[in-house]
Amino acid sequence: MTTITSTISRRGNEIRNHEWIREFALFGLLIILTIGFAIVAPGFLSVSNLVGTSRYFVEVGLIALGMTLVIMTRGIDLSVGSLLGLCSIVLGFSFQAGAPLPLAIVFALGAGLLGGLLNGWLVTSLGLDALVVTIGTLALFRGIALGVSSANAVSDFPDWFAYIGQFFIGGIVPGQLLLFIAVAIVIAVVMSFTRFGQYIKALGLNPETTRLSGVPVKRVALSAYALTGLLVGLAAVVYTSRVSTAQSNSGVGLELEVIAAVLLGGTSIRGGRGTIIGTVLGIVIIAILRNGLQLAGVDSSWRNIVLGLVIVVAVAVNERLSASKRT
Amino acid sequence: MDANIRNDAIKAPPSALPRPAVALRSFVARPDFPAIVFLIVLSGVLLLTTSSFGSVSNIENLLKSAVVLSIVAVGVNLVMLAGEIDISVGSVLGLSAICAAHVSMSVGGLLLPAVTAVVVGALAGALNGVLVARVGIPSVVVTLAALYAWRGVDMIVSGGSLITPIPDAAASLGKSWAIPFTLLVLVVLLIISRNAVWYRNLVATGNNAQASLLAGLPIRRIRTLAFILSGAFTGLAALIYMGQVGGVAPTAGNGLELQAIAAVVLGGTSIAGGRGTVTGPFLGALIITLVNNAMVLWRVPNLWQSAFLGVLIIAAIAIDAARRRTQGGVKR
Repeated sequence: MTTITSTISRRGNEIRNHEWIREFALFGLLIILTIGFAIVAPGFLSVSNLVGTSRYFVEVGLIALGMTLVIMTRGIDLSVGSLLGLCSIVLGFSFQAGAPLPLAIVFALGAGLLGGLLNGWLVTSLGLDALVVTIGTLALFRGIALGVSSANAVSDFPDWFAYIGQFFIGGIVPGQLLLFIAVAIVIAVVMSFTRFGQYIKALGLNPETTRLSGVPVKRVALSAYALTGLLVGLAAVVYTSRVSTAQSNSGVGLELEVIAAVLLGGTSIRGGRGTIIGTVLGIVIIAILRNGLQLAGVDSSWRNIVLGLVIVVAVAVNERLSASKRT
Repeated sequence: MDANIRNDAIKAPPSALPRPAVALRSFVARPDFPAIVFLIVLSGVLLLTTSSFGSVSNIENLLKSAVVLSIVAVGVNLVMLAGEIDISVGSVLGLSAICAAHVSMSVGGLLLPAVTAVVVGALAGALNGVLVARVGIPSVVVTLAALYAWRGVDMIVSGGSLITPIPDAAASLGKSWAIPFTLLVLVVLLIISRNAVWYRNLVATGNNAQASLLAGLPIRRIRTLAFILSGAFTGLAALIYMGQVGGVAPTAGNGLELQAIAAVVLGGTSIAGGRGTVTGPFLGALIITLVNNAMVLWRVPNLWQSAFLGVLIIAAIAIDAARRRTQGGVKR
């Protein structure tokens, strides 16, 4: 046990050095993008725009925090966009069916947790491939959302519900931004200072060794998926409140932005490596790209292309970096 | 060697059992055995519970609507046999169809649009292949990024509007020849899978890349080839799609990647690579089309289609995993 821990921490030190470089580079990229957009898109650097943008990335951001853990365990979850739609429908339709709104919110969070547990159970207990399982649940969750809602929307929420996604502290800072920061700090602390955080890293670096060391690997991986599901539920509540509508096509394609943010933040798709700070930087960069391109008058079709390129380049650079480190 | 035995389970274990029993056992061991059983049972139930299922026109429509999916799935199957995955086919089908539609409207004929569709698909596949096999980015990442990036390109090159009507010459393959053409593809694939060395190499690579490399196989070239073929088949399917639908929308092929992967997995190809048949995707595509047909005949609202697809995918990989475990001696 001690030798394994020391191996992990020795490799951890090497990795940490290299993560500092990466995070520094990401921060540099962030500054360059900000300056670039400030020049080409007037109005980009205004306080109201920057703060307004942060409202939009909270949903992607919350999910990306959980996805970081999933990808670190060598898994992946493509179902998050569909699950967000399903949670939103659960919220809207349980409210319409007469449930008090706070209870409907709890139902939405519960639906997210259950969805995450289903993914995690299929992947860990049945030992199925995470990619295909979550492609399956992507279709399943969206199908249930469509079927249950008959493609109708719910939008007659009481006024106070709008506070969750439309409240500005001091008139400027969006309320959900504080929620995101709080969740990010909690997860960052858990990852750095608890045994669970170390288990997640160890599981990604070497699943077999970790299992033989007596770590309950299935339960650890299951909690990563469950946490992601719960965060999807939370994001769904924020999203539904922000747009004041619950409809079944919410969150279509969201998984791409989430995965882009996580991979851009330096989490290795091969597991083991990743930081919450990196993911947060990835989220901010993608939000700035999206907002900047929009303000610069670039057609929305290009956003897909840019996001695709960002993912490919980020992973190519990461793989090269770690390959040169290894030799 | 190992790969050859496991691949089709054609070679039965030596035993004292009489011949028919051995044949039966090897048939049951086929990767696509559950698909065959499911297909027969589902057809039987449909025949008994509905009056219109057995009609010639319903069967013909059913086969026609399975064509595009089965040809796309054939390509994805090759990638999955090689141990990788291709989620980009939905957007690539859109791209091929849009380019072919433009060509058919400005130049006309069948040959040039057909060449365009296949070449565009193959090029998109080649890009995936190079990024996976040469640059070394995992195929999930590459093809997921490609799925969204090509959809953006689709929106731009189509000008955001429906391209219609497709001239008769270019539409003829999809309209009149879809079923015979698919049968031709099936026969060619069967011949290839029995004789072609590259197909054996591809399966071997998917089964054990390390061993294949040590045995001297050019695994990078094999993987790239699998992606190129996946793109080319998607291009072929795009041509048929264009004829069947009669127009190409910027969103053409949206979500097809899910169905294609479902068809491949339902057809018994293992997600871990190296285990499956070349005919499996046809069975998988038929199952998906049949289930959709059943939902129409049983009057289930088609909004539930996606949910059923999800259940089918998960059930298929769960069955595959269980079979691998019980048959034993298989990887992982």
